[in-house]
Amino acid sequence: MSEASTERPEGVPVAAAPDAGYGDVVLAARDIAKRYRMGSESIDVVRGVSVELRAGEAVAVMGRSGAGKSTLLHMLGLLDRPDTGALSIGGVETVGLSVGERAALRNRQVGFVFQFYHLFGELNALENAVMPLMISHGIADWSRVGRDCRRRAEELLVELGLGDRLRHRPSQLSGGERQRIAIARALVGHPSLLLCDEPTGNLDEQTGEIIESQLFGMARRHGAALVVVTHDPLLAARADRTLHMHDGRLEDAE
Amino acid sequence: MFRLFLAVRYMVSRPVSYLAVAAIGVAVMALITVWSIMNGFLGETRAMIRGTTADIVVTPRESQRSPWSRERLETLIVGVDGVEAVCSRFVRPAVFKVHGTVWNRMNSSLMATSNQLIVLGIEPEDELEVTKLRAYLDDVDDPALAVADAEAPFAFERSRILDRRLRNAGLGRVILGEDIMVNHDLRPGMALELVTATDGDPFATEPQIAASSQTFIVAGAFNTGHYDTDVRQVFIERAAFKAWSGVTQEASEVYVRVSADIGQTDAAGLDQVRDQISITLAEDGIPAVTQTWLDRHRIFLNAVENERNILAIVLGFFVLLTCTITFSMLTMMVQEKVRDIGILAAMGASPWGITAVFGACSGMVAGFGGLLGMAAGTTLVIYINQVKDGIESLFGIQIFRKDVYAFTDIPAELDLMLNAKVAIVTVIFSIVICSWPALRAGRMDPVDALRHE
Ligand SMILES: Nc1ncnc2c1ncn2[C@@H]1O[C@H](COP(=O)(O)OP(=O)(O)OP(=O)(O)O)[C@@H](O)[C@H]1O
Ligand SMILES: [Mg+2]
Repeated sequence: MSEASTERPEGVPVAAAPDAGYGDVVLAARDIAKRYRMGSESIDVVRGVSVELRAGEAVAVMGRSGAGKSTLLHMLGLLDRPDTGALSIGGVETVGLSVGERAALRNRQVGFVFQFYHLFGELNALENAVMPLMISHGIADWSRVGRDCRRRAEELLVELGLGDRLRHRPSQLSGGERQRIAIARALVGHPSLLLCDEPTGNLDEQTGEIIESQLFGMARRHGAALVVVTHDPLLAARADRTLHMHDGRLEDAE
Repeated sequence: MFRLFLAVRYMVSRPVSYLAVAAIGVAVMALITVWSIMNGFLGETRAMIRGTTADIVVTPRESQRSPWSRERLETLIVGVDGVEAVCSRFVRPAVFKVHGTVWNRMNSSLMATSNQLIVLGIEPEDELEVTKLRAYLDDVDDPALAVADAEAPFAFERSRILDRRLRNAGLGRVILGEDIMVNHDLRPGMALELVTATDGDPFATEPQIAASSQTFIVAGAFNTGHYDTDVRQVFIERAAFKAWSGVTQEASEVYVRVSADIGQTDAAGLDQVRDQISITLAEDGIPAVTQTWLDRHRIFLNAVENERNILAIVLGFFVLLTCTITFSMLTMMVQEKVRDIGILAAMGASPWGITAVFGACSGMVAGFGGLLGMAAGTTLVIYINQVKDGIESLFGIQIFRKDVYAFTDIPAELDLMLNAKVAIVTVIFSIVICSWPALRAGRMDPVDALRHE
C-alpha cells in the first residue's frame, strides 16, 4: 500500500450532499487522507475521502471497528490534520491555518460528542455545558456576556430534560444524563457542525434510544449538520443518509 | 476565562494543592522570620557597639622622639571639620577583689574569669559630652545600685561608705557595670581592691613587672544593656587612674564625637573625618591609629551580617525546594487530566490556553503559599516576643538567654519590601519550574489525549 493515498480510485463516488431541502454547505472535504506510521510499517487509515455536509442534514457513518471512522471524524472536526487533501468548514479553507486558528475555528463551528462523555469531574452540569463559551470569551468579556452564556447553557439543559440537575456533578448523574450534558455542551456555541463518535455506545438500549432522538431533534432545531459514527443500524436509519467506511474509503449506502 | 476558572476548580478539589500552599507558606515564613530577626540582631548589635564606643577612636602611641600632650592632641582633633567633642580616656585590664574577702576565692575557676575587668579612666564632664554615659547611668535596672547624681557620678558621700574605717581614707570611687554588681552582690558604699600590672621602668635591662593595687569605693552602677560590657567594664576618674596604675602616658585613647548629621547615617562622611584626623595628627608628628566605630568592629559586624546572609541562602534554597512540590503536583495532575486536555482541545482551547490552565495552577499555589508565608511571617515578626514569652511560660524553658545573647527581647526588624520580593521570587520560580509540565500539557496531541485510557 505504498501508492499515493490521495488518489481517489475510479468508481468511488463523492459522498456529496443532496441538492435540495437543506441549508448551505457547512463542510466540504476533498480527498482527505491519513496514514499512520509505526516504524517501517505504515497504515493508510483514511485514503481519499470526499464529503459535503449541509446545515440541518444528519449523516450516519458506519463501518467495522478499526475502519477509520473516529480518525475521519477527528479530521472533520479539525482535531487531526489530514496528510493530504483539502477541508473547508463554514467556507474557511483550513489547510493553511495555524494551530491557534484551527482551535478558534473549532470552537466556533464544531461540537463534539464522544462515547465516554468526557465531562469535567470538578464542574457541575451547567459549568460543563457552558465551557465552550468560556473558552471563546476572555475574562473581561465574560463579565459582560457570562450571564447570557449561562442562560444559553441552562436553556439547552432544560430542553434536554436536565432542568433539575443543573448543579449536579457528573459523578452524581447517570450515563444518559451525562451524555445529555455533553450534547448541551456541544451545541452551546451554536456550531454548524455536530460530530458524534458512538454517542450511545456506552448506554443501554432504552436510554440510547432516548438520547438518539434528542440528538437528532436538537441538531435539527439548532440547524447544525450532524455526523454520527455508530454501529447501530437503528440509529443509522434515523439519519438522512448513511455512509459506510470501508478500507479507508467512504461509500454511500445503497 | 476558562483558564482561571478551571485552574481554580482543579486546585480547590485537590488536597495536595493545600499541602503545597502550606509548605511554601511555612518556608517563606521561616525565611522572612529568620531574616527579620537576623536584621534585628544586626541592628541591635550595631546600636550597642555604637553606644559603647565613639564615632571615631584615636589611639595615640607613645613616642620618645615627639612626645605629645593630651591638650595638644585634643586641640588638634577638635580642630578637624565635623568633630564636635573629644574625651581622653585610659584603658587598662585589672582584676578585683571585694574588700574584706579572701583571695582564695579567686582560685575558683568561676572567679578566675568573672574577676577580670577593663578599667577605664575618664573625666566625667568630657565623657558625658562624647559617649552615652549619662543614659547608661540612668538605665540601671535596680534603683538601689544607681549612682546618687548622674551629673557628678563619682561624687559619693563619705557617710555612705559602709566600712567606717575607710570613710576618711580619701579613696577613689568606682562605677561598675550592673552585671558585675549583681554577680558579686556589690552595693554602693562597699569597697573593693583593683589590681593591675604597672608599666615598670622602660629602660631596665631585665624585663620587669610589678603589681599595683588600690582600694576603691563603689559609687554605683551603669547599664549599657550589652552584657559583655556590663559584666566587664568599670569607670574610675582620670586622676585616680593615673595614681593607681602609675601610667606615664597622657591618654590610652581619644573618643571623638562627630556632628550628628555625619555620625548617624553617613559611613563615607565618617571615613572622611577619620582620614582628616589621621592627616592632621601625622602632620604634627603624633603617631596614632584612627578608626571609626565601624572600622573597629568590622570583623564582628561582618560576621553577624555573614551569618544572616548564609541563613538567608540556606532558607532560600528551602523555599525553592518547597516550590518543587508544585512541580510534582502539576506533573501528576497533567498525567491525570489527559482526557480533560483532549476535550479542552476538542472544544477549541488553544495549546497556549491549555498550558495557561496548568500554569495558573502552579501560579496560584505558589501565590497563595507566598502570600500566606508573607502574612504569617510578618505577623510572627511583629509578635515574636509575645510568641517567645508564650512558649517560655508554656514549656518552662528559656529560649533567649541573656548571658548568651546580650538582649532578652528578640530583636526583629520588618523589611516589607524584602518580604514582598521573597513572595514574588517564589511565585516566579514556581511558574518557571512548572512551565515544563504545563507546556507538555499544551503540546499534547488532542487525538492521543482523547484516546487515552
Ligand atoms: N496514533 C495511532 N497510531 C497508529 N495507528 C493508529 C493510531 N490511531 C489509530 N490508529 C489505527 O487507525 C485505525 C483506525 O482507527 P479508528 O479509531 O479511526 O477506528 P474506528 O473506525 O473508529 O474503530 P472503532 O469502531 O473501533 O472505534 C485502527 O486500526 C487503529 O489501530
Ligand atoms: Mg472509533
